[in-house]
Amino acid sequence: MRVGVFEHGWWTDACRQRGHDIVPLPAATHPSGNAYASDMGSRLAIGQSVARLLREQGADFLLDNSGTGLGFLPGLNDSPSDIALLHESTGHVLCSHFIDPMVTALQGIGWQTAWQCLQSTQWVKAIWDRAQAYELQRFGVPNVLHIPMAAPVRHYDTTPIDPAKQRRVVSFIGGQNTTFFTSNQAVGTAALLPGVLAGATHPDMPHAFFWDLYHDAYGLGQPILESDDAHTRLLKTTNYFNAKLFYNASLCMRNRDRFVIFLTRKLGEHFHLHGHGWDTAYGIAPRNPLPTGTPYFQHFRDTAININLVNGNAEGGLNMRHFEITAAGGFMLCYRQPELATCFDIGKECVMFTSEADLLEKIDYYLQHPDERVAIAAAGQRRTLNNHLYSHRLDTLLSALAPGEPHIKFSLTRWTDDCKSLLPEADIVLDIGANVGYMAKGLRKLYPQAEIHSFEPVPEVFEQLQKTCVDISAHPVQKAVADRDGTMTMNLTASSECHSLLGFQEGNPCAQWTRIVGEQQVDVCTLDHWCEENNIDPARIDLVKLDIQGAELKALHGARRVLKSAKVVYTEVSFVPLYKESPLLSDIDGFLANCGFRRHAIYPSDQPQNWGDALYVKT
Amino acid sequence: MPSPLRIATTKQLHHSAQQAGFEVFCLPTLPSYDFNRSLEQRFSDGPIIKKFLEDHQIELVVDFNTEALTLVPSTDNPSEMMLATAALRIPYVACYLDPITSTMANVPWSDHWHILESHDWIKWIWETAHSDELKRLGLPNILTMPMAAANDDFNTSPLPDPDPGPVIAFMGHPASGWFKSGQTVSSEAIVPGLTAAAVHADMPDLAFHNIYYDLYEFAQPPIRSDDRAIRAEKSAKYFNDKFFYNAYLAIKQRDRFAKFLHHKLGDAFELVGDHWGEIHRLKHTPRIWDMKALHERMRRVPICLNLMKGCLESGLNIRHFEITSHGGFMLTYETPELSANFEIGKECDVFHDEHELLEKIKYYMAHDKERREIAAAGQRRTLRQHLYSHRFQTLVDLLRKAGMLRGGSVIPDSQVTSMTNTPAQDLLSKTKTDQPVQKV
Repeated sequence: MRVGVFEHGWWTDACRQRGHDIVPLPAATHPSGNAYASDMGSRLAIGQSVARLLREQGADFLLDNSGTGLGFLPGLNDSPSDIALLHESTGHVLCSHFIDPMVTALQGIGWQTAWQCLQSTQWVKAIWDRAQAYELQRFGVPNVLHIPMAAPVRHYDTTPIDPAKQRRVVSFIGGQNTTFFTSNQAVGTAALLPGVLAGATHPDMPHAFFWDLYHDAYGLGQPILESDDAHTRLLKTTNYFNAKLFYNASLCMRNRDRFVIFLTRKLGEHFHLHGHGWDTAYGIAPRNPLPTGTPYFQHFRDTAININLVNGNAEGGLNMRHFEITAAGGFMLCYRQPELATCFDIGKECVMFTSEADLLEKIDYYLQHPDERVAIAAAGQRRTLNNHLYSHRLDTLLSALAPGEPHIKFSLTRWTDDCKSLLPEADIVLDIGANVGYMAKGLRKLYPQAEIHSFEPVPEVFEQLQKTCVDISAHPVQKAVADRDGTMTMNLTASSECHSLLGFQEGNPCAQWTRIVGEQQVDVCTLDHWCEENNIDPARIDLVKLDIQGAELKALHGARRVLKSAKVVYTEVSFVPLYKESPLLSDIDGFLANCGFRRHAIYPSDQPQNWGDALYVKT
Repeated sequence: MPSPLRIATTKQLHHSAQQAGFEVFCLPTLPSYDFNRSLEQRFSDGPIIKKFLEDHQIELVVDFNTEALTLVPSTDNPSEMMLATAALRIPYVACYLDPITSTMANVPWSDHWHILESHDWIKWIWETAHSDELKRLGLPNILTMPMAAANDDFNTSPLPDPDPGPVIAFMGHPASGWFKSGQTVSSEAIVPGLTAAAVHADMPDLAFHNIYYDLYEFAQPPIRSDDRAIRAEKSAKYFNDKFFYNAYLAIKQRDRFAKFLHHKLGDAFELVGDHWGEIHRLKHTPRIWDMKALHERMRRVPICLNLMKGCLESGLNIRHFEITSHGGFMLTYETPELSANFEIGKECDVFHDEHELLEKIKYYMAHDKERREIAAAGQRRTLRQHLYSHRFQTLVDLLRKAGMLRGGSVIPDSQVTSMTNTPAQDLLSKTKTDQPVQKV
């Protein structure tokens, strides 16, 4: 492919390694050296030169770091206020990999302009922190992907490390991320409340993101609605990000600053700190900055223990240092972060600590076990060189941009509201994959008069479903649903909500939950045959809800008669393979289109990059 | 048969002390028993109290929050002050309902701290973390003992059918007005509190003083060789640095759940208390001043929510014992000391987060019999073990063992012991960061 790369070393090297042609393009700049401060004037200026280069040399798509390739061109009517997005004017897809929060990366153009630009469907926003990707998706920003950071493509020394030659010290490389605590600014106490609320809840609900708490739990703001005009949407996002400011500052303390202060006080000279801002913030004198390039990576190899603390403003992601330390072959001891287990085998490829006490214990342990330490470092290096270089991320990006791959835009409405408006009343509702009956309760609320049949094959789970069904007057059915009748093997997984008729998919992003821990023979039926056996007229079935962990397409294949008269199908859909041979959204789209359904909307899950729920309605 | 011990108390404790079998005298009328009254007022009240104690041959004085703490000129040096009780060698116990920093507000901090440093009286603290930090700061005679329900004419008949309307009620005020006070705060000033909040999430057994002094060494605690003014200054700095942590706890333990239930349940959640509107814009009904009416409400609402006071790190507040003693069904946010006082799931129930709170509300609304059984068992437990009459008996036993009653009045520090131990010190020693606790 021919990739237009906005002056960025990581992506240039990744493209070269994958054999793509590169068209070097000038990125946004600012006299301060901070490209994020690049304003409209500067971006208009680069727009002209980029457009000329693209005309002369052509490119299949454009790639930048943190939106530094976002440029503008004068509009058609020559008015100073009439400007157009460069990539849209030249007909390219721009892909930006944000390594900092959006509000930081686009600070030079102001949030109002940034928000307008984000609506561009030809701009793919790849975000390294799952929580930030999630909040943008929930705000309805199109084409937001979650793609972790990576290590640059370069030559790494993979020779075995002799631990006896390492410095027996603990080292951290990184700057102090927030000026909030050092500016000695007077802060209004009311402005702290949303951040304190989120900070107080997080220990009890570590998987909830700020967005969930702000909107869902405490109702501090209204989420964006389809009916909101542009001004209202802007206002809501502005309020949200302002409310989150203190939470970001508190994350800096939680994720990074506290451990630097702690290690400085407890380890003294045995703790080597490299980074800016620590002296002015906390009176901690850092050591000299490390030279870039080879000496920087060599430092990780020469140091016994490399501490890694994420950028403070990240709720969930892994920063670049995770991949740099491991790529270099350094031993990484890092503070827990939700996404760590999705990128590394903790304890084998890196080591995690969970508190100050744990940190000191692990430092002590790994200083006393040098062979184990270098073995973990070597395994971590193999993992990163095999999976976590920018070239791997480029592959992911390109597959997301492949022709025919749908760009997912989540609905801002609730599925229950949509379902009720599309289907005001229901006669029979089939609840396939009922688990203990969570959804059955919601369906009962939605359709108080409907006859609900809830299917769940696993005996222990079914027992609980039976109790729920008594409470809500539904009919429990102890069967799995597929494309044939008889018995099948149900794979029992680490999470009881992930039991599936399909096998385990190696490398799937939900492996921690879909890992198989056992199996069980279960009764299975097709919906068409079950109707026949139970004297149920398929024409009475109005709504089919499916949540059967990748077996949805099998169930639909066995329900052709039911689907003839069903009015609405609400089903879980995957955007990446989560089980062996599990269908993706496009497969479900295709099958149901042949049955006369159109997709009405997709609703985000707590892992919107992996799966969601889709509502289909009979055309 | 020895005559019963002669105890003087303020009105609120009178009935409980009587129920414990002691001869109880109500302290005489004063212009005010406000625990925030000035040093001057306490001096002018001193002779009245002293005379009363002499006239009635009182052997022990107990009050809430230092409301009966009065002063007289020292017998050794008339230019110095001493407690009226100490002048008569009578033990005096202040049962703190609030943190010590919330009492004696109109006494300058240096004087307040000096009085607290006196060996002549006992500070009964119901919260372990607070009592530990006071010991750490060098205060003598800290007694750790839980709160209780005041003795009353309890209704032990089966719970009535719930009133129609709200399914869950919380009775109390917001735990902090700080966030809506219109104040500003220096961003630097919140660093210790924010650090402690972050550490606490990972090491929930550590109290603020462990984090502040041991882990992070933000400051040095007072030591005996420090000048008196320096000791007061160090303690003031400690409590000022803790201020943001208290505000954080207020949100963590109470206000967030009120906001959550208000948002999720609407009118099915009843908020009884003042200031919710101005601080959090939540609909509420005013505080119920009539205690009988309040206790009846606890019996008539299906679920009584209990949320800790924000400024406290551990312990059980008085509502734990009030709700259960009057037979209400208590659903409470879990606190470290709860399981030592109640059998969770049988005498009350707990939740750990917002999700579980909703689940438990739904569960108990669908399981009325179980709800009633738990409420009845909780009432039996509190009436059996957690009334102030029980605490009085324990208190007097402790004082007797320490040789402080009936004549032996100077109180040796080491002889007053806590009833509970905090695991924090043990845990901290495992961090290899332990600093010896300063002995004062």
